[in-house]
Amino acid sequence: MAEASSVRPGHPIEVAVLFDVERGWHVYWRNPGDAGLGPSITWALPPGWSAGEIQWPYPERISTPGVTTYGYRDDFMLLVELTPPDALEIGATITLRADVDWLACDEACVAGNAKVGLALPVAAEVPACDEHWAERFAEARARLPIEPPGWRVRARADSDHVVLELTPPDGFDTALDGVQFFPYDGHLIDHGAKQVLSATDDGFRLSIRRARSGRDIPARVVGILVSPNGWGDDSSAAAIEVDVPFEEVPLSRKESERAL
Amino acid sequence: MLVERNKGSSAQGPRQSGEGDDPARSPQPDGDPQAAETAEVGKPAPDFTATDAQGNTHTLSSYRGKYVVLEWFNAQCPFVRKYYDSGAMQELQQACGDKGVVWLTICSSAKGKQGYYEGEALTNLIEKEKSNATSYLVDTDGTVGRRYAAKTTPHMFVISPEGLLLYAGAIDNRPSVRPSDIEGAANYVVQALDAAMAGREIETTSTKSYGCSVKY
Repeated sequence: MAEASSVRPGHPIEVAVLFDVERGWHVYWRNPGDAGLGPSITWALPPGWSAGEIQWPYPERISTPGVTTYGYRDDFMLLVELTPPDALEIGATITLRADVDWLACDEACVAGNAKVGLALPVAAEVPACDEHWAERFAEARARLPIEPPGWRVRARADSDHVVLELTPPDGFDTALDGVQFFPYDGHLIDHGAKQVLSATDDGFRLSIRRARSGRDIPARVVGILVSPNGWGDDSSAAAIEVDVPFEEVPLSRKESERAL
Repeated sequence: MLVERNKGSSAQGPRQSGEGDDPARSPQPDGDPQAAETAEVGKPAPDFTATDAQGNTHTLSSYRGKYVVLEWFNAQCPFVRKYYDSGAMQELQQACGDKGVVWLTICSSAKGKQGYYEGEALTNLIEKEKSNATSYLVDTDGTVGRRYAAKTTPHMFVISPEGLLLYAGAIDNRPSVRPSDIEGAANYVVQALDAAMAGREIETTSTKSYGCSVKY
């Protein structure tokens, strides 16, 4: 569905694919964790249109014995920005089509596919919001990761652990609870391991066991940090995006031990 | 638990928060003292003994001198179907067998969970799948799966004739359930075996596996 009720030549619109997840089932995030596979959207757009990347709402951690995955157990929306060409015939109707593939699992896993489509009129004026969907779009946007509001994140790693140092903005005077890091790279951390949050002199430290992959430490750590109670600002966003280099400062023995 | 910031010098011990540790991640070692307790590429592959569909026992260390491929399997998983309905897995098993590689298909589905088969149903399944694996091992209590930290079906492991783990991870580089993705994909098992047999260094020794979760 689209938030706008019409489309203007050259002006991007946001559309969404709504996943109505049945009780007991889940669908996966972009990094599914130990198992599973995130949905994919293959667009079939009219000439001159282009599609942006999927904007993924933050997931939850789903644990079964021996296997930890990241995904959604409730309805969720994948937002995508579509950009029309500058030349569109006013008054015409355009049809945007996509092929959506997903994997849904409860105890069992089922692969699903749907061909979805959306017809929108081309109009010269600023489109009206489709009120039916505006609220859903707002809810979906609230679950997207944002730039850290004044937080500074630094990352270090050794062969066994990834450590994220979180420095809050001045004036931050709240506790953090249940902070969880979700990497985009599925092979960086041990998904099932406990992520240990501890206090430091100037903030917080999140210690996470690395995946037993034998691979070198990558150049950067990219993913999202989710704090269910937010990050102490007014945005009420639970997820912030992290994209920082691993600094070459070794972990002290104490830090390594603490991360056990 | 809440984690407060340390304030001033009256720092208390760090309080910790996080989701529970995975109860299924502590393998119990038994048998071969030479073998590692957990699977790590470049180290000795953990030894195990498991029973096949006919009730015969197979011990990994008894296959020393041969390459061994371990394939985690669940007949109802779409990722497994991708490789079996297309015939690609059976072809791969055949090609490996022709080169003297031992191929052990392992099912770690717990009793009553998806993919669990026993008795005649299991024999029928293996026949229906036209599997060319050396053996199909039943790991109902998940001991072998946990020792290898097998997370998905499929999840592939390649072991050297010396008993070292050479490769652990995905079957190929195209995470999908579409059989049409198999052609042209880089098959990590084939790459690892080809390189090792030719005395070359294996380029990719560890990947993130993809598939359904193992139904422990």
